Amino acid sequence: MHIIDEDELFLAGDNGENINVTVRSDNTVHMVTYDLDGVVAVMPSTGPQSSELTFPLNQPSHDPSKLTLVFHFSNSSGTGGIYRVLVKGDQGGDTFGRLFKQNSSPITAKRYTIDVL
Amino acid sequence: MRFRANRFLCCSLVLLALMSAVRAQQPRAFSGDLGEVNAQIRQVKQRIKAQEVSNPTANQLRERSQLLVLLQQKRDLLNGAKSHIPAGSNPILSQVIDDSLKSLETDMQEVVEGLRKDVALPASATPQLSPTPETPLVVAPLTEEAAKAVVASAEGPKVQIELNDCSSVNQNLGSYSQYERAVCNVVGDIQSRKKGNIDPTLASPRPKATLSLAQNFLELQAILVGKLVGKEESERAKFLFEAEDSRTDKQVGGGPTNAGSTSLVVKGSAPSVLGFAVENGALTQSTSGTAITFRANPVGLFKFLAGNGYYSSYEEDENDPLTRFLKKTSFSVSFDANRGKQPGTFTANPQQISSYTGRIEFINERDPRHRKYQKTWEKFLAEEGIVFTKDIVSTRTALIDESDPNPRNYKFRDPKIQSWFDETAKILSDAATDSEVEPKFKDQLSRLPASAAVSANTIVTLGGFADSLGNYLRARNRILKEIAKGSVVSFEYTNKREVSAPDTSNFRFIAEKGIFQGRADLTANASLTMFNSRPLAGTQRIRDFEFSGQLDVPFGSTREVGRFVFSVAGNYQRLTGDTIAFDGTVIKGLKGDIAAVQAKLAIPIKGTGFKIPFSITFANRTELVRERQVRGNVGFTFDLDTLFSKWKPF
Repeated sequence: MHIIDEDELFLAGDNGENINVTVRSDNTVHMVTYDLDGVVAVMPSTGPQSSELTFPLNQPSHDPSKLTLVFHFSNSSGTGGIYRVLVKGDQGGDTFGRLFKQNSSPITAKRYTIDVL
Repeated sequence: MRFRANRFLCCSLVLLALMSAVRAQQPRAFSGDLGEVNAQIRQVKQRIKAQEVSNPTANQLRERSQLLVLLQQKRDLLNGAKSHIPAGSNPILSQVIDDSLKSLETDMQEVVEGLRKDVALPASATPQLSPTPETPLVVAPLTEEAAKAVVASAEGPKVQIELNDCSSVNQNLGSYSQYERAVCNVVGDIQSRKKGNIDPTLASPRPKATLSLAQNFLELQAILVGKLVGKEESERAKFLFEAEDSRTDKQVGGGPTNAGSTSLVVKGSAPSVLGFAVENGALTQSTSGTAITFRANPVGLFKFLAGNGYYSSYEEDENDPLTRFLKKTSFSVSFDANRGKQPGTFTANPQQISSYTGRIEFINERDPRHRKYQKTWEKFLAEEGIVFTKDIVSTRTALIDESDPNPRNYKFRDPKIQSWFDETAKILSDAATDSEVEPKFKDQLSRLPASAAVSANTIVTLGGFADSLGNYLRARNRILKEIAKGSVVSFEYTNKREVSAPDTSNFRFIAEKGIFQGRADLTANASLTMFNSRPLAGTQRIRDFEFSGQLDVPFGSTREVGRFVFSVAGNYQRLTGDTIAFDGTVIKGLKGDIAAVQAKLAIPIKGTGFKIPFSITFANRTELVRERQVRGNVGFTFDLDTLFSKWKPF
């Protein structure tokens, strides 16, 4: 997997490559939902403050693959929480890390686009 | 209503025939979509017509709203088809599409006129709604409120929305509206990307970072709702402009035994990094003084001073039992400015230390991460979280054209909004410093196209999203209100240092609970004070025991002037033996009861974290004088947590 455009969260990976997304949080109840090519679900938990999702790139079905991560924050006052997101492929290449903080909203969403080569 | 049915049908048939001829040039089969939309349009029109015949004055909000959406979909399809015809290659088809588009615009205007009449009709005129078309709509089904918003948005000038500085908004999430928070979230995200300080190990500086449809679309959707659909006076979008309640459970200043304290009762929570307070006066002591109190959490303070920032790694904390324990503790040091070589001047000299405390929190049900709420949050995520995620994505799909595989080429379907987005993205990209981002973005918000200038489909889509966002936030707030009712139980030890009299140790249990749906806070204290050493042979070690209670009621608008907190408190203290005066002499005959009641008002300085507490206390006596007393106290407190998180969040 490699990064095409950081600002547009635009990545590319080989057909059949497994993409792994790990999310860790701090100072918030860990709550992440996602939409992966039209399938909506709660991101599977791997611990009280972490969750993980792995999916294969499938060119015939979805090219590019579109992943919307929705980060829910539990703080209503004071300072907010943060989510750290790492995206990597099992064929090597780049690891794309981003950190999303609450800033001020109770929820934020990020749209990853993964081109299938 | 006149729909030009024959013309509509003929155009559609011609279009279907001609489109099949150019299908090879098109990436999608428009004819199938168009046929489906036309069928739905016919169904809805038939229902409207039938209703008009049976009841000419009927309210048909939902039908007309659905019709409007379908007409918009048809217009999008026709525009899409037109864009795939090479210039000059098929003038007949181009002309037919243009004619059809003109006809559609006229139809849409008539539908909006009908909607205006529907909205003006009394609720009693609302008929039973007809069944929805068999084929589901692309956008979520409309509520009547959404339809009303279409009309409302087309009427009159927008209310100007006043925006506060994002530095103020980010310092206290609960004090500002969702609309402002969405604006500041965009500002904060772009600033962070420009500076690259989100996390140096994760992202490098991006000086040209700007508005992004990948990263800021949710906030943009909320902003568009606020600007194009919501009005401040509208119940429907009201939630966007309301602030949440702020916390009342933190003890920043000193306890009641301090000279100068404005608090008769000690609160349960403490700042997670550092707070400080300066208070003047006295409560049940005979001598007034000025107390300066610093209260801190050792883990938060150590990490901050070590450069690790406000937030820390969860794993690091949770895997270390000592850190886990210390996070539940806090300490404070109070200085009496009247002591030392320069009385009246705060020098932070050890001679001025009047007391120090250590505290441990046994129970804190105000933390949303408390295991008590785990199932509630899981249910919230599985229900409202999933529904809202679907709505976020469907709204995005309805607003943004992602037919191009490259996300750099994603565009708002509405050309007016896309034009604003392009202009804003360029301005923000060119912003040389991150401090320029906020004023430039806010300036651009005032340039967003008026609701009348954007497509009705955009307004309707945003109306549906407003309902969804409102439902999500209401569900979230229900949980947060439950959390606000939670209990906090702490134990605090205070060592009070006297100048000449024996030092004392105070052991205090503090219990706190939210009441009235978390809108008020009840605190109870029970304490025992002992002399650290027996003052004189034959005197008791136990100096006094004490019970107290306090009710805190926050009020006032956070948006206008900030959140005030009004408190009433009562305190009963039993002096078990002779009293030791400040110069160390033993005064006999003062054993007995001291009762005090207090009214207190904490006045916030909007958006700063500062509060100015004024209190007035009535006591039957003081520890040294058997006479009724009325004391006034004033001070200021400052919770530095939010400021620290702003300076060095990570």
